[in-house]
Amino acid sequence: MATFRIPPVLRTHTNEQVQVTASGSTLGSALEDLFTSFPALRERMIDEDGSLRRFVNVYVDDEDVRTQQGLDTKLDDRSSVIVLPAMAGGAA
Amino acid sequence: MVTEPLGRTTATRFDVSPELWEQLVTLARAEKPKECCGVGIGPVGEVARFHALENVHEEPITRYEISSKDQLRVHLEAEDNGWDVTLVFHSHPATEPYPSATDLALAGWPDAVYAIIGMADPDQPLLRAYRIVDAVITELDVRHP
Ligand SMILES: [Zn+2]
Repeated sequence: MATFRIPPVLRTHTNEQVQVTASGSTLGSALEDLFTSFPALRERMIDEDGSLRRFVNVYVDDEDVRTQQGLDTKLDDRSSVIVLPAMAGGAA
Repeated sequence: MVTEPLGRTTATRFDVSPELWEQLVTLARAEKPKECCGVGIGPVGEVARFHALENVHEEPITRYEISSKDQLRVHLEAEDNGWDVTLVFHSHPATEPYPSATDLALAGWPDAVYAIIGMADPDQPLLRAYRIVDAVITELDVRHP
């Protein structure tokens, strides 16, 4: 089971749990497993095209998955996944 | 490793120490006309450490974005100390320090203070602070030197 660290903004969708586990050999399949337990998370993390949302950062073992294989990034039982909403905005 | 939430703060005030005030103003002045950005970490409701971070957005005059690398680094540092992200800071180089529609749409840190410094007049920086939860803005009472 991979471990997922859930940021404050998404904890309303994980019964306030900071850390949850999910199984899957890739990030995408582990997320599917996670969405089975916490369906409201899907919309917050995945866009209409089935890709990771632009302003959600996901790290597998401290490496941004956008610099790895995205949702196809491989996971094993010891993988640790961190989810961080982007810090962005602007005057316009 | 923390496995329980650190708890929500209901503080209605944002007290800025002289050191932090100096850091925020210096950063905003140095980056103008670009937006500057930074993150504060600490125990709930407190900024123990502030990191000025690079604005990596491709339109830095009107937008800001902190790199995913910097975000992870600061997050891990907070976690190592049993802390949380307590401040998300950026500047509005030419406009009022009020959250824009973009700021609201992208505000993903409900437990942090969102502070904006208005630099329309660089000699009179205007600091405002907000809590933004589900796109609802609550303005905080800012005290600074
Ligand atoms: Zn802004």
